[in-house]
Amino acid sequence: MNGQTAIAVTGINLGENPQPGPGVVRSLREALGTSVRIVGLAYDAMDSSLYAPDLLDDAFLVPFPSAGPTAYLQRLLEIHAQVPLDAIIPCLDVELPVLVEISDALQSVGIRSCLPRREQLLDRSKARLTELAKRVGIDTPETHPILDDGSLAAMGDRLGYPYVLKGPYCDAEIVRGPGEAASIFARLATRWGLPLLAQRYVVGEEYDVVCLGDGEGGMPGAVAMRKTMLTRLGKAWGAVTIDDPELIAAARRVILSLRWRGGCEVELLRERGGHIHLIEINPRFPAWVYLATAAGVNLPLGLLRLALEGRAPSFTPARPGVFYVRHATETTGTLADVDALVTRGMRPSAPPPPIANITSQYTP
Amino acid sequence: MDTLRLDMLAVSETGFVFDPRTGHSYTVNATGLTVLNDLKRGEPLSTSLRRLQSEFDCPQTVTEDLLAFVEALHNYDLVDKTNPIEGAT
Repeated sequence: MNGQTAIAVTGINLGENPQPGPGVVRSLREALGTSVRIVGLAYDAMDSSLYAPDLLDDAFLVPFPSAGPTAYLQRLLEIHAQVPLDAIIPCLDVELPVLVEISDALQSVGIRSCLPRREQLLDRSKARLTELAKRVGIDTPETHPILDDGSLAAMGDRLGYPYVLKGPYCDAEIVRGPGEAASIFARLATRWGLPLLAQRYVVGEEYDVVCLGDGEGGMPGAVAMRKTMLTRLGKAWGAVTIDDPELIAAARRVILSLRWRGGCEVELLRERGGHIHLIEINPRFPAWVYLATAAGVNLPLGLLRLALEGRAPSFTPARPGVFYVRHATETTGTLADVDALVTRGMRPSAPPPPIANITSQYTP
Repeated sequence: MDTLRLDMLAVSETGFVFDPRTGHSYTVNATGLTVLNDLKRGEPLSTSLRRLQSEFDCPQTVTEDLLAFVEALHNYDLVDKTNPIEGAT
């Protein structure tokens, strides 16, 4: 490995619903240069970062977390046999329960991680948000679990319209009237499973804080931002860093209460007049994590240090007024790349071919 | 008038204004920039009114315009307009 630190990173698709992996990789590359070897773990041969130049050194397909901890561990050990890994940074919500379960087994073979504990994951879940918000002294919109059509029908009267219907892991849509409720319920339930959560709609501006928790109640770094451009799915396409001590303090209380270990995103909403609501806690870095790095707070680097050395660097406050606009572009590959990924589960550790070769004859 | 929030604003010489607490940005023209900088320095509106009248070719509605500008700042939650605008009316 030529003295390189090999880091496996998941969540590497930058599509309509962008994943955090590429932002994590860029942050690590910027800080560590060639001393880091990035191993991309993909769930699909068409995950965009597989073909992006300068992001990944190696790439492997892994089974979906729904395959279970045993299958997931087995695949990681196979990869470890080919590219000895020093650490893994999972970037998707659904991976975390599996990774938490196999983290000791991974640690025993030298693959370190910085993950929350199982109970921390549960305590920050949408179903327990009200309880957590009360504990940290922040309001949260009234929220109810929805398991079936019957409880869905009652929500309009109970919360009034509009209200927000959320998937158990991610995704949310605004329900503006009874006519929309059933179709949104069906769409979210099919995609994410039950229970869904119905949340009272609060008028205000949303602010997000990306945080790193040290597992002992400390928060070595955090950066707050306001979304400036949204996609049709409500995902941030552009954002700007801000300097709001109240939001950082609210995030700090959440991290302290949970004794959170690892990266996370605290979503807050500020009503006109300043009142803050806790909306959600995502248990991993958000897709916009590179904005924090650009503002001077490299949280993925901090997380890696926590995983490898047990302590994070001390960060200075982020620079406000740093913004990003996501830039969508095409990544290109050849059939040989897809062939390797689909049939062997890996892409040879070589950058994507130059564009001139893309049209060359496919010779398997 | 409580102008505490104005102190935090980053204001460029060309009139680009950024509020680091909320992430909102605004643009102001030359007259707006003059008033904004006066308010940031803690000057009363009467000073701004005199400055506008002496430095710009002001219309007769300048007083109303000044008050509308302050109202806009208030709507953006940048000033707490609790006191009467002494000398501006």
